[in-house]
Amino acid sequence: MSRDDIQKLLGGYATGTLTEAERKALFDAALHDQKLFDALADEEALRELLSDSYVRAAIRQALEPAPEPSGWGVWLRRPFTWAAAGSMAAAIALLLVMLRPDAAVHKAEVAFERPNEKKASTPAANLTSSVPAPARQPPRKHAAKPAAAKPLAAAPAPKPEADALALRSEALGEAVVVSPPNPMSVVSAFNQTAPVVAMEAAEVRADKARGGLGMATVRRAAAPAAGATAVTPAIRYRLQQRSTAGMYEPVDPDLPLSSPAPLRMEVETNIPAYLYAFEAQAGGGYLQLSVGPTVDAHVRHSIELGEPVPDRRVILVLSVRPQAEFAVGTATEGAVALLSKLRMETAAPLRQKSANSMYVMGRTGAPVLVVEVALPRR
Amino acid sequence: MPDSEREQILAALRERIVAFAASRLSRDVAEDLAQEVLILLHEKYAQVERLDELLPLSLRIVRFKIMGLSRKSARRGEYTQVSVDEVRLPDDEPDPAARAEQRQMLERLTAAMAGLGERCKQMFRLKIEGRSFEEIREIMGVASINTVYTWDFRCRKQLLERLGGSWEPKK
Repeated sequence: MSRDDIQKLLGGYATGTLTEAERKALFDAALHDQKLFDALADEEALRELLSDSYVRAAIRQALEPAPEPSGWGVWLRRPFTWAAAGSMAAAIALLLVMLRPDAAVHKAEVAFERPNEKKASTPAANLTSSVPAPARQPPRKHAAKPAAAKPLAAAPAPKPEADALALRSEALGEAVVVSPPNPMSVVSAFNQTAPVVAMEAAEVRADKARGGLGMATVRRAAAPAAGATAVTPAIRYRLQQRSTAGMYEPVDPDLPLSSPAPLRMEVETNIPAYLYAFEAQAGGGYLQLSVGPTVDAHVRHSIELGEPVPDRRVILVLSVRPQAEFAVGTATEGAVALLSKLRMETAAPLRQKSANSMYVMGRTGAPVLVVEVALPRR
Repeated sequence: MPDSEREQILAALRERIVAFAASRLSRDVAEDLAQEVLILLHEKYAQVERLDELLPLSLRIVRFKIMGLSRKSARRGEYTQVSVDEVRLPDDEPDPAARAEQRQMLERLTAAMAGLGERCKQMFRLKIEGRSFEEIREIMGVASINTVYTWDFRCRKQLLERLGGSWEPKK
């Protein structure tokens, strides 16, 4: 990388955006370049601020795009609607002037009242058929997509089916790794999120009372719009290991670990849902790990995993409904039975790796996603 | 890692720290501060060897010490050395004064971000969400990662300008 390119990495330092290679390049350069070192030192204030999860949540909320208007709001925001209405009003006024008063009134009534037709619901629909329909405006690039058409009701578990895109099976024998040329990659599916909606004041107060952040807007998949597609449930996770300096650094989940230091898993979902985590025990039981259960979309949650030991597996369960058996906090008989059933019946998810993050996607409309993670060994 | 390699890194770090601190404090104070940082790295963090750990760690220590110096000199009107034992890394619990500063920084930052263009807002949002530059490149539909680097650099510059050139409020 050129010096200019390395300097451009500065913005990724405070936010933790840099890969291991980018950090190395930046630090190597800063060690021998006073200006770069000084700039990096100045970033330390921002890095420290952003290391607080509350601060990150507050900034994310501030940067969320405004909720998309619906119904009347969509029509009223389109300038063509008002331009067409203005033109029609001018044309009618001209008719009234040019024609006999009684005939003009009759024609205006015919234009606006057609008793045999359904009453229009928008001002634009009151215009005569000579006015062309307003052109559809392309959605803003950054706007959230419409919500799911169908409510995410419980559906029978789909049968596992051969996936034409599967290129190889992992040692688990259950998941398949997806590689291009699937145009709808798992990463893209993960980023296809529910729209932002404004929270009612009562909901904000209730959230604060529960100790939450009381966000004014959240991503919510519960209000489906006609014709829109369902959001596919997906999880993104990455493993981190504590460094000798006491900070957690990402590790490649596919490579053996070089250190006995404690591990941590960061998990993020693309839909607001219920997240449960378990560790499979040698004797066939499960240890329930502390996370969730209610999670919002695109909020990172950390699961402490302790020191690495051989043959550890973590099972993540993402469910659109709360699973009462998992609510107890310990793996009761009912919880063990349900988890075993979900592992067997849930179709194999699709996985895609990007940098050190693993993206896992369920089936569209499926109410539960089960992800099994074999932790790397030393 | 051989000792000599670590020593070379520390020697270079010392030089950088002195020059950085001297731009904010007197030369004598900067030399003392750099020496304290090096002592801390030797005594408390001897096991930290790699540059990608040593450098950010030293930056945190430098910042902590400079903040400590400015608070003590503000209280007593003089420079007083900060004891090695008072450095509480990596404990991240801020004291009340730090919390108040944090709140102020957050308010300034969110107000400045509100005035940015949509692309910059999206860029910052994706970074705050923990995306890598490669993931951001894919999400924003850009062909080259260098474009993402350039956009990020410009957005960061715009944000800093809106903040008067510093992430921290001027005292």
